[in-house]
Amino acid sequence: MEILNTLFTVQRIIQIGGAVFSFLFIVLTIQMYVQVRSVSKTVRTRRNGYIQMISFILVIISILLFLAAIFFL
Amino acid sequence: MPQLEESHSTLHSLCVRPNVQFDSQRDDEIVLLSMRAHPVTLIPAFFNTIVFFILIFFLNFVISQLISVRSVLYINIFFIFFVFVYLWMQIVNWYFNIGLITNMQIIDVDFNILTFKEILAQNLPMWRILRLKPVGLFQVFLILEAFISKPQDRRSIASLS
Repeated sequence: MEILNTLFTVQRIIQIGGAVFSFLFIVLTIQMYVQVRSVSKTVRTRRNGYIQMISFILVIISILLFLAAIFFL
Repeated sequence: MPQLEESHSTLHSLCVRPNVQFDSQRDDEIVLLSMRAHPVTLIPAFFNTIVFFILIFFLNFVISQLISVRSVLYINIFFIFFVFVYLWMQIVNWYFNIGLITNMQIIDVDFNILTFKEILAQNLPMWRILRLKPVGLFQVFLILEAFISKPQDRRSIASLS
């Protein structure tokens, strides 16, 4: 029982939850970036560069959030 | 070919002679009109974002008494990021769901940021009916529908504007 209590503290649950959700976020943002790159090649507008750049920044932030969930929490 | 004056801005749903090129564009092909949903259709997304932010604000009062400051900070950053990604997805979906009319063909790009990208293109002589159908509470939105003339292949391109 004591082992379970130490394993499943609120802190640990937040850490695992944060890691899992931020990993899902990495998948989601990468998919988003790939789709944006794909459609940018099909329809070329003036703002495609900005849209791709923001999507890429979102991928980076999601990776940072994943690392933060593991090492910071 | 009609001489159309350039008329477009970020918040226009119908842009005349826009600065848009596409993949299979021929050398002598000119984009005459681009159509996308009116920016007013993004209001629900912005409204949801505001509601999310209010929720996060009040959630802080509850969770700050239960968990450490570090975890509260992480949860806040995570939720703010989540809300921003949600809003961004809606904006990009709106931006790339576009219909183009050129002097040679009509193109409809159906795009979802997570799942699919579908491009329908048809040469202009094949298109017979172009109709504007008013919809909405005050009939303020228009749906432009164009059908292929062959009855057995009655596909439609519909662009909300």
